[in-house]
Amino acid sequence: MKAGEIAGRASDAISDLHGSQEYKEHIVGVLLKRAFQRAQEYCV
Amino acid sequence: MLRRFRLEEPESVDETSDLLARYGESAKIYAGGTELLLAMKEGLVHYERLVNIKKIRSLDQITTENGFIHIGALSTHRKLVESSLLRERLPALVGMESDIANIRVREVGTLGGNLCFAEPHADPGTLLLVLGARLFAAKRSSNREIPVEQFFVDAYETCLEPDEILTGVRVPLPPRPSGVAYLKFGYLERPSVGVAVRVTLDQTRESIVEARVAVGCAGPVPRRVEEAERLRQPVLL
Ligand SMILES: Cc1cc2nc3c(=O)[nH]c(=O)nc-3n(C[C@H](O)[C@H](O)[C@H](O)COP(=O)(O)OP(=O)(O)OC[C@H]3O[C@@H](n4cnc5c(N)ncnc54)[C@H](O)[C@@H]3O)c2cc1C
Repeated sequence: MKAGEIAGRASDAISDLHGSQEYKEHIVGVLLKRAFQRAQEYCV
Repeated sequence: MLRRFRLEEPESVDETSDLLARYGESAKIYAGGTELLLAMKEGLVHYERLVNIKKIRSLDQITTENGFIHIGALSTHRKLVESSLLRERLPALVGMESDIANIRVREVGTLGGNLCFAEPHADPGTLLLVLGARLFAAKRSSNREIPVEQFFVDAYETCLEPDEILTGVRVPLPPRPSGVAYLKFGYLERPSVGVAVRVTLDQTRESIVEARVAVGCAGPVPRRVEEAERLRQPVLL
């Protein structure tokens, strides 16, 4: 399993006004990938 | 409508703790008031006494010592955004702070108030998790240090005792070379999902020595995701 999926599941996402649980889990995966790339780019 | 309340203005942490202990559930700490006054105006909560802690001058300092940055709980979001020390040493924190709420909330809202309110749709807790921050809480005759992991108990609930005050946050400077990033997504007033990453590379900058991942906003409390950290780069990308 990919880190994004693991993090999505671990986020304890709930369905509410902000979106469904599945939707939030998906966003977690997308953001994690980008955050990881950015963290590496900005390494000092 | 805001119902009548008394305003206490203690000048020390001890005095604040005494007031909270004496008045129990009828009193509440008031820092920037951006959450508290809103909740009171809407009639969601009522306190007979608000304990304004902004007169405690020592609680709004941002300092650095021995590889740590100490941020006083009363530091406003704006102060964090404008701190040259933070810009230089923890730019990811400044980036996260500059994107909180709007200019009016950043002007008066404090980091301490943000953490203590424990509203799930908040940013700082998630980033502080990957930074390995510790929170300092005090009451008369005792002080304690709380790892961020243990601070958030549930939505709107922290591990602070009723007469405890959050005095500050201590963030270790990341080892070099490290990179930190916080990204959020949302289309409502507050963020819907937040993700923080801290990556530490080896000296050749070719492999990852440590990766930390935290997620917030989606569920009741922000949390580290250790299972994802172990996978590191190849699996991740
Ligand atoms: C319109 C709007 C948009 C927002 N958007 C975002 C956002 O995008 N991201 C985000 O992270 N946050 C957001 N917030 C939350 C904002 O960051 C907080 O409102 C603010 O930081 C709270 O600080 P305060 O000093 O005003 O807290 P207060 O309202 O004064 O206090 C909040 C709570 O914490 C307690 N408290 C305060 N200080 C202490 C202390 N030192 N020790 C113990 N208890 C204490 C109080 O008793 C109270 O229960 C938003 C808020 C608003 C109103």
